[in-house]
Amino acid sequence: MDADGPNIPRKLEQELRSAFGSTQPTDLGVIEAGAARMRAVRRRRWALRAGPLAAAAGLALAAWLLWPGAAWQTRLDQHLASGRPDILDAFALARAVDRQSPPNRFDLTGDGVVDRHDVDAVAALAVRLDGGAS
Amino acid sequence: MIRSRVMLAVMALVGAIAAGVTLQPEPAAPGMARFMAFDVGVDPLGVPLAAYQVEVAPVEGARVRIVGVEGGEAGPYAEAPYYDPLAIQGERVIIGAFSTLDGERLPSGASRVARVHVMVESEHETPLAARLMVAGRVDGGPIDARVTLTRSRFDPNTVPGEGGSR
Repeated sequence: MDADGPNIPRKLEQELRSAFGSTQPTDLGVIEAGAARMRAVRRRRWALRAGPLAAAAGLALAAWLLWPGAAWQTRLDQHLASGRPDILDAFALARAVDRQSPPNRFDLTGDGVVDRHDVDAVAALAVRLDGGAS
Repeated sequence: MIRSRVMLAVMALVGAIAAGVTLQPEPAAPGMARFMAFDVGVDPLGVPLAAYQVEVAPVEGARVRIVGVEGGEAGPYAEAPYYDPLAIQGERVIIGAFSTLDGERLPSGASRVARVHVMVESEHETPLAARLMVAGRVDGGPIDARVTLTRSRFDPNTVPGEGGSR
């Protein structure tokens, strides 16, 4: 029997050590456990920071992708409000009619659909002489 | 004696009237109006021209009347451009057109985009001036361009001009 250890059979002691390892914590073990804990904390902090950053990047990308469409609509809205659209507004609406479904608010003719007639209406406003675009 | 004096007076009066008539400045003859045609050209300086808007107005002192607007040379701007029908018989017109064709099918150099027919009642050889209001590229953005207005080789006195608003 070992004088320093508990008074148990050696075979049992060996089995217990193989099953659970050393029951005595060492300095190295404590340091490793602390380091692992800090790594986990750092990972969590990075994830907390990266989440909002990724969301912001996604929003920026979406805005960039959608901006050309939004830009012409804003321009046309402003020019229609002032009564002074120009031929570029008609052109933008024509492209939208050709390629996608333009917003219903550009149904200037009031026939329930945004089509080439509305493009013509914008162009007519652009070239009209009584206070039209100048 | 008296009779001869009366005759002299009548002759003097007739002579004075005749002299007065011949000394009067000549009024503008009604038949002096001329019909002319002017080509509107746009040079987008190397960028495909997807849209343009141009104002054509008389130069100072010129007396003109717009009598017709027609399209340009063969291509995307061959059709008559947009213009206000009220411009006909007026002296100023705004024309505009666009094309949704691909860039390679659009003019990127100087081209005639429209022709304006006018009746001119003054002596000006070039009674009109053109001003670019806006021009656009394929993606709808504005571009720089040069606009020209030149006397057309087309003779409106021999072939009636075709006009029409769309």
